[in-house]
Amino acid sequence: MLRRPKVVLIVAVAGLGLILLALVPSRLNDQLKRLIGFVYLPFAGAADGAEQLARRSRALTPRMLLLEEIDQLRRENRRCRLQSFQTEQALRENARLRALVQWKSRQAWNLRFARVIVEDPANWWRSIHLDAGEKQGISVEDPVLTDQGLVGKVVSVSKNRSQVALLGAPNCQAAAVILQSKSRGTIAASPRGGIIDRQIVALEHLPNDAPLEAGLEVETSGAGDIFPEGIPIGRLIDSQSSEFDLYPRARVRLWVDLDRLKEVWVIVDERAEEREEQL
Amino acid sequence: MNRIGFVLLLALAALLAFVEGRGWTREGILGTRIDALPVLVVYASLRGSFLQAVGAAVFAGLLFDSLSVSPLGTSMLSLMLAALLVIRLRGIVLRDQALAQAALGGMVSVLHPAVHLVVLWIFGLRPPIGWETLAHVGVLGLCGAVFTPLCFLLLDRLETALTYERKPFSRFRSEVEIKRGRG
Repeated sequence: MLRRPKVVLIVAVAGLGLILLALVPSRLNDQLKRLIGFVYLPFAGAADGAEQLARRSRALTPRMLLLEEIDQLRRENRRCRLQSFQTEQALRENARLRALVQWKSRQAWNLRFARVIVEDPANWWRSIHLDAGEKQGISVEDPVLTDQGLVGKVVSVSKNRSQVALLGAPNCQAAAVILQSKSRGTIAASPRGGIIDRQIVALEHLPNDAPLEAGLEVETSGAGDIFPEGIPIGRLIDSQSSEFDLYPRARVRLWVDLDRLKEVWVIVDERAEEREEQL
Repeated sequence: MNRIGFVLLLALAALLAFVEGRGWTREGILGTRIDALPVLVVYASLRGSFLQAVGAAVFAGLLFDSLSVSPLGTSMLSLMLAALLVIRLRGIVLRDQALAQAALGGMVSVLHPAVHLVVLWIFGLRPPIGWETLAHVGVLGLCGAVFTPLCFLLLDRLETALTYERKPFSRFRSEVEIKRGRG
């Protein structure tokens, strides 16, 4: 069959097309991917419709259950308000002390809400696509988090979409610190356990004398200017050091379950709002 | 495979790629995301023409890559290689036997991620892989072997339902047939 000229021609054209596609510059590649992504529009519409229908079917919840839930939420709201008073007071005190010692004031996070549309179908990549982009003020390298902790960072943006590299991806390393010992390191991919369980990442480049007991908490250190200081990452599960390694390394279990991400928050910089107005 | 069958196959490929992107196939064994696109390529290669097999591989590969970090064309290359291999083998394979379908499905489901990783390696991309990746590939192969005969069963029935059976041509008109017997 492969001796027929028609077949040889098809193979040659397809091969050439493949090589060209694999060699295209990243931006053109992204644009082509977006163009092909239009095929998914009917399915995305159907999936959203089904989700809305499921949400409406939940509207048939018994009245008693709803009243109980409202009571519980009211109590929660009151508790949060009281905590907020306390936090505001602490913030004012913090600002006053910072002014006294002439220390740089910390910027408040400018958050944008986004929903996860799709995730990478390949088993070896860790990335998700969000339904918000440049129009919503999101730009490349913006940190992404949930109320549980750090998720990753934005790696590419279009007008209404953005792609996020999750923690443990080769293009998403985060400067981290162990909360109790103040030992600094870098969050990277963990080939031991991190391939099957995506909640496991490695903490590398730690100092040799760092105490690495299981259960210690890890958060962002603020070094590197991408992730702000103090975002919770996870807790240590174990550590490993060999005589051939320069630094000890530990494994960290993330607070956020990366397999069940539905909604996230993106920290955008203040200039983003100006861009948003221009768009 | 006729045109309607081929269009249905492409629509199914798009739907499966979307379902995989939504993460609905992730609840598999060892956290593996089940990939059903190689199974469709095996079906197209055994039941369709050369053009249909290559078309299905190119379409499925492009759809898969459009959601992935991998450059566009990586999956296309690995799926097309799988399609060419099945086409090469289809003359000596008992294509209606479930066992042969399962063997081909398992083989292609292992070949697709393996070639994909090699292509990524060639183009300088280094995804985090280790010994656990072998477990993923094994699960993919196993699932491919199980799903391929089921896919053949389903798509064959669908095609039979959507197409009419051609009646054999007879040069004798039915009204002038000699009816035997006393009635």
